[in-house]
Amino acid sequence: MNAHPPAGSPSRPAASDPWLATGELLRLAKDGDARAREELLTRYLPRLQSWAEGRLPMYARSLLDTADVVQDTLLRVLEGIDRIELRRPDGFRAYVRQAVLNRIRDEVRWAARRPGPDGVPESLSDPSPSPLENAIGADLIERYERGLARLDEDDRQLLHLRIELDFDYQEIAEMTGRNSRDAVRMAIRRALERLADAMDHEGPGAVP
Amino acid sequence: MSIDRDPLDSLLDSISDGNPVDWEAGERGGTKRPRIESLRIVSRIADFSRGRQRAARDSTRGPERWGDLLLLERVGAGAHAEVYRAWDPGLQREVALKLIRLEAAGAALLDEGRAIARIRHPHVVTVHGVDRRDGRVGLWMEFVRGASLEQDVRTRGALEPAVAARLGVEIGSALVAVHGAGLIHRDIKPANVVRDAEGRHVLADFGLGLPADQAAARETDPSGTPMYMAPERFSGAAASERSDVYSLGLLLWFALAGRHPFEAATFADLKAAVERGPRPLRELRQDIPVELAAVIERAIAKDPAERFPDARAMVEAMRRMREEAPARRSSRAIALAAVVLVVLATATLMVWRARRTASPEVVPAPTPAPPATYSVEASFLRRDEGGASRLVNGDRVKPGDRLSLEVRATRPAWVYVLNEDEGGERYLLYPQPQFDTQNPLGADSSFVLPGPVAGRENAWTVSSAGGREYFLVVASPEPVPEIEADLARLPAPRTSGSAGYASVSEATVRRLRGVGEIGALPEELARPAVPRSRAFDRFRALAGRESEVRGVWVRQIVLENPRK
Repeated sequence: MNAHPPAGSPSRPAASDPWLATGELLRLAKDGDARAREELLTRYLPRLQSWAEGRLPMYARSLLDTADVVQDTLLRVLEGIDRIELRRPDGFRAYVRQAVLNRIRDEVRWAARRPGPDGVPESLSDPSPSPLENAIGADLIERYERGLARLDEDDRQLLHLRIELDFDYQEIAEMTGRNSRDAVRMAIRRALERLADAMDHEGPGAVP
Repeated sequence: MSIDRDPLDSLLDSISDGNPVDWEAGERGGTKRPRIESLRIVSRIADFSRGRQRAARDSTRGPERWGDLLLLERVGAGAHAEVYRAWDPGLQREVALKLIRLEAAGAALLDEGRAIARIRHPHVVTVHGVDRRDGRVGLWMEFVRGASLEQDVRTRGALEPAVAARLGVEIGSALVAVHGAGLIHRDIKPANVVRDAEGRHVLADFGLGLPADQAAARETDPSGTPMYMAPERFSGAAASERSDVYSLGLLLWFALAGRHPFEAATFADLKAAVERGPRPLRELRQDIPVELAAVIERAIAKDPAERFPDARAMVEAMRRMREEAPARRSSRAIALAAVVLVVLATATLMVWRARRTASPEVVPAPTPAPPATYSVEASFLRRDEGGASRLVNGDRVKPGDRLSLEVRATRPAWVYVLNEDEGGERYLLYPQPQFDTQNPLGADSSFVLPGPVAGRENAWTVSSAGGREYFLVVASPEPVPEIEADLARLPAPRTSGSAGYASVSEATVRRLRGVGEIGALPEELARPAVPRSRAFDRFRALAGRESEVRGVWVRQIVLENPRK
């Protein structure tokens, strides 16, 4: 009486199966499977958009559609997927995070340089912070980002999925090909400890 | 007693799990201040990010799809689960979808869901399936429209004793089915019982049902709803059939008293109040029969050994009590004096045989989208000289009883009536080519099936004691291809001679089945067996109780037909 095929069916994986691990989807996408690309998009896009909105300055948000920025970035990543050399198949997530952050920075710089209607660059009149900066403070976010940058891709990905995108342990286990939610929880605890180590070394006002 | 943990590990787990962080404990445990500061930053970023993510998810009506189901409306939300009204394109009907966060669910939930999905009972919500999709476990089930007992009593006041007694029998028999499936419900309470449009009570939530053997393993987990939780569970005893019996007794106390049994601001107060027990019901209401009060008092005895040993014993006690007060039930009799019954020599109509072991599957959508909403009413009538009485789920029938089905739909409908007895024999009772009344039945008129043959009124006759009779009434705005295909395989009607009883003797047929004989049918019209069909299982998976649907409408009606 089950209306859906059971998860983990032994038959050949279909790209539309949402329980394929990210690595498997990436392999299918690299082989040109359009449905795998679509699945990657639907899996990440909504949460990435929420996340990115928190990191876009208010004035830039009025000029850019965050959803478009994120979707466009993700599509570009997927289009170039056959050129990405990933050390681990599940490194995709960290790559996307960086790509979206870079794109936001580019867009913000572009928006800041673009003159307003009266020819005055808007950045001079409205240097508003992002919602995240508003809530936490730009210096502390910088410290967090520098700490993250010192971690390996695996740790960065786990923290991004759990801390920033709010995926649950089971989802992360399935996305990263780990055995169990307990294994993920343990791995995240260690990643957090290494992040705290890295941030301790940064310290308040430390030079990157 | 707790196990000593590294305070840093506790901090890290709290941040990761999204729980409140005890920073002072971290400092007292010797975690260095710079480390605490770094983790505070991470914790604040985590709180901020999660808040935004959840707000974004909550601001919409949730994901638009879950698997194949189209989410229409969020109708409820708790700490660990959300409930949606959803459209199932496979079943072509609205369903209720309970989505549970995996972290709250644990690995046992899928097994639990599958066990629940095996339960088929008129007073237990029909679970169509359980699956894991999009990071959540979902349980999709019939969408029961109606008010919970909690809302009902709050808005309309306490129930009449006769209504409460019927509620006790209905939910008690539901509990028998739950326990029979190896589950302990653990969460019987007024909010989890829904009264549908026809006044029937349905046990409609399974949030905490656990297989009985696992319940024992979690015996110190007081995860039942405390107000209705049995006293022994406050001191760590395992949930059991007897603790469910207690909760049902207390639910009846609520229904009759019109208020919750205890008032307590804290868990300790509640525990003390439960220990004292609620006030005797007859101190609150003199019109409650002594026998009914006695059944409830026994169900909520503090000592589990003094309660009914199981739900079945409680149901039997309530049934006996109701039978001894038949006057309360007479209002259900509905006179249909105009109907003249002509019962001639009986012939056996044995149409549908299939094995009970066939596993249910989902029926391919029998109607194209988008279907219009329509409503159907269907109930069995017991026909006797000069009139008819309406039967409700759980009523008893006996050999010799003559049954008809009254059906009314708000649009033209193809109607099919299937029957299965406890021995697993299945029959198609309607339509048959020789009946005067044929599909589709017209809109907005009452039809009494099987209706006449050559102008003579008919009824289905209960021919032997079969234990329990399951009827499925299927209505559809279009012909249902699966059933029509089986009908097409029937041999052409014969107008003379004897068709016999296919490959089994009449004695065997009589022993195996209860209903199946048709009054007023000449023997030469008797049908041989047709190839096996799984339609019964498939449609039973769809059986709902709502009166308004799109697409296929299915109602299961169960009548008791006990063997002597």
